[in-house]
Amino acid sequence: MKGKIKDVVGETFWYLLIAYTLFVILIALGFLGRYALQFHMLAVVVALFGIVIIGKVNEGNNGREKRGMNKWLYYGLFALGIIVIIALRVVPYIRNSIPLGYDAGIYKYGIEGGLKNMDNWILSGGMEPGFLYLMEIFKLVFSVDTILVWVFIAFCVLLGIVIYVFTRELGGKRAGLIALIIYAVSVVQFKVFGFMYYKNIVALCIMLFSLFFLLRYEKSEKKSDLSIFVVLGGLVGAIHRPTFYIFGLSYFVYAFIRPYEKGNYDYRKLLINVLSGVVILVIALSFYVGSFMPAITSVLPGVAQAFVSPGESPGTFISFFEYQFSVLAYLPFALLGLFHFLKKKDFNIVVLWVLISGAIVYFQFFFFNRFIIHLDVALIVLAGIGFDSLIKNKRKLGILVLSLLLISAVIISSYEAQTSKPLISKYSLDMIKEIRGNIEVNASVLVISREYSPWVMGYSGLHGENVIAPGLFDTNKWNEADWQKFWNLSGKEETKKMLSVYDKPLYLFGGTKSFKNECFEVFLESKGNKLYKYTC
Amino acid sequence: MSKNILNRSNKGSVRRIGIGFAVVLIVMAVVSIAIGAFSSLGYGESFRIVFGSFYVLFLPGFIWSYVFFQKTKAFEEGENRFGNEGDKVAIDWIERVALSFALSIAIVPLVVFYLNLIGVKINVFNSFFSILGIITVGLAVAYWRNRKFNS
Repeated sequence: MKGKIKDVVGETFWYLLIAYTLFVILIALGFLGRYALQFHMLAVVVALFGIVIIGKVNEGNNGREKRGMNKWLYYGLFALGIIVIIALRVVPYIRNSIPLGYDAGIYKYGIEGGLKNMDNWILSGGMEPGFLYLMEIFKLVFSVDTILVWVFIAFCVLLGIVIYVFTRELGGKRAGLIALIIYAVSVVQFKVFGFMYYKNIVALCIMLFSLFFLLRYEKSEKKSDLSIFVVLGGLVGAIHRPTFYIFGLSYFVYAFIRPYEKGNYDYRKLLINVLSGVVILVIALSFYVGSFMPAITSVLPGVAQAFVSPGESPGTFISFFEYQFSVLAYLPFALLGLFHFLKKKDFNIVVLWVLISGAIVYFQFFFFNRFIIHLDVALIVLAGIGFDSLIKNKRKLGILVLSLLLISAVIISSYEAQTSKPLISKYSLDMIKEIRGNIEVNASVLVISREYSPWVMGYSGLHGENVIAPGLFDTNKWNEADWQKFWNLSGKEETKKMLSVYDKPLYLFGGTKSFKNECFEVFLESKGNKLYKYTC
Repeated sequence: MSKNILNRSNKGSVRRIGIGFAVVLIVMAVVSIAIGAFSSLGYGESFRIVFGSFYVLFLPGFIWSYVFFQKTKAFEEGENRFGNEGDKVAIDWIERVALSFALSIAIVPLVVFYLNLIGVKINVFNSFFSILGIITVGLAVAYWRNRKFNS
C-alpha cells in the first residue's frame, strides 16, 4: 500500500514538473506575468512531491551512471558556463566604460586612497581592512578603472568556478557542473554584479573555498585541509563583515551539532571545531585591532536592534518577494537538494547556511535583503544537487527539464544584461572629473543629491573631507530635515545661516537636477550639468 | 633498481615542469603583445598586467597548492575521493587552478598586512620581495613535503 502511494506521488511529481517547466518558459517568453499566479508556491509543491524520487536511481540508467559523463562533453559544458558568465557581464560594457552600480565611486575612492586617507566613514565600516589590503596588491598591477570593471568580472568567474568546485565536493561532478551553469544564468547573481557588490563577491569566493576545505577535512581528517579552512575563514571576516556573519553563524551551529553521530557525541571533534573557530576569530579580528575597531563596535547595536524589532534595516537589494519570483527556474530543485540532505539527516554546513540565511531573510533580521545574495548562492549549490537527483532518476526527461529551465533563465538574464546601464550619464561624470581642476585647492563641494554623491567622492579627485553629501561621508553636518529645508530654500539670509556650518569656498554640484538659490550662481555648465558657486 | 626508477621519474617531472613553465611564459608573452596591439594600452602596460597578474595572483597560490596537495589527478579519477592515502593529497587541474587564485588572494594580502603592521611600507619594491619570499618558502616546503611523500 505504502509503495503504491509512493508510486502515485512519484508519477504526480513528474506531471507537475512538466507543467511547472511549461509555466516557467511561458513566463520567460513573456506570455505569462511573473506574478500572475502563486508560482513560488507551486515550486514548493513540486519539491515536496519530489521527495519520493530522492536517492532513487533508475535501473535502466545504472550502467550509464557508473560510466559517468563523456570527458569532452563535460569540459565543453564547463567552458560554456564560464563563457556565459563572462559574456553576460561584458554586455553592459560594450560601448560603455562607466562602471555599473551605485557604489562604484565609493569603491574608487576607497581603493585609491582608503588606507592613506583613513576617513572616519571608511574606518567605521565603509570598507573592511582586508579588502583594502587586497586592493593595495591589485593596484600594483592594474589601474583602478580596470579593477572596477575587468577584475570584478574576473572575480565573478572565480565565484562560478568555486561554486563548481564546492558543489562537486558535496554532490559529485555532474551536480558541480549544473551548479556552475545555474550560477552563470542566474538573474539574481547578475543583479549582484549590476549593483557592484564587490566585497560580497570576493568574500563569497573565499568563504566557499574555506567551506570546501571543511568538507575535505570531514573526509580526509588532514591538518592541512583544516588549516586552509581556518586561514580562509579568518580572511572572510577581514574582507566582508556581513558574509562573515553568515559564515560565523553557520559554523557556530555546525561546530556543536556535527560531532553528534549515530548516538555518540565526539568531544575531540567538538574541541577541534571550537579551537578552529577561535583561531578564525583571532585572524579576522587582527585586521580590525586599532584604527578599524569602530567597524566592529558601530555595527553591534544595529545587529542587536534588528533582533528586537525586525524589518527595519533591509539593506539595498531586491526584496524577498521579488527574489522568489526571480528564481523560479531553480527554486524547486534547490528545495529538492535541501530535502535530499534532510532526508539523510545530514546537517552539513550548506544545509545550516541555507537555514540560517533563509531565517534571516524571511524573518527580516539585520540587513535581510542583502543576505538574499548568500541565500541564493547556497540555493544554487543545492539546486545542482537537486537536478542531479532528477537526472539519476529519469535521465532523458531530467536533462530536458534542466535544459528548458536553463534556457528560460538565460532569456531573463540576457534581457537584464542588455538593459543594465550605469547610474550616471557620461556627461555628468565628465563634469565631475573636471571639478578639481576648476576650483580652489581648499574648496568644498556640496552634492545636491544622493544619486551623485558616490561619483563626486570617487571621480572628482577631491579629498573626502571636501565632499559634503546627503547622509554620507564625514563632512555632512545636516540631518534629513536640514537637507529638505536646504533644497527648498531660496532666500539669501536663510541660506547664509544654514551654510555657515561649512567651510568656504563652497561649490554645489547639481548635475542635471534643477536648483535655484540666490546665493548660488552657475560656475560651470556642460550638456545640462551644472556646477554652482556659493557667492553670499 | 627502484632508486634508478625514482631518479628517472623525478627527472621526468622536473623536465615536464620546465617545459610547462616555458610554454606558459611564451603564451603570456603572446597575450601581452596581443593586448598591446589591439587595445589602447601600451606594450609596457600590457606586459606589466599579464606578467604582474601571474606573479601576484597566481604563482604564490600555485606553489603553495603543492605544499598541501602533492598530486594532480586526472578527470576520470575525480569521483572516487579518498579511496586511498594518495587521494588525500590529490586534486584535479580545475581545483588546482582555482585554488591557486584563492590561495594567492589569501596569502599575499595576509603577509602584506602583517608586514605592514610591523612597519614595512606597501610599495612595488617591498611587495615584489614579499611575494618572492612567499614563493621561495612555498617552494622549499613543497620540495621537502614531496620528498617525504615519495619516500
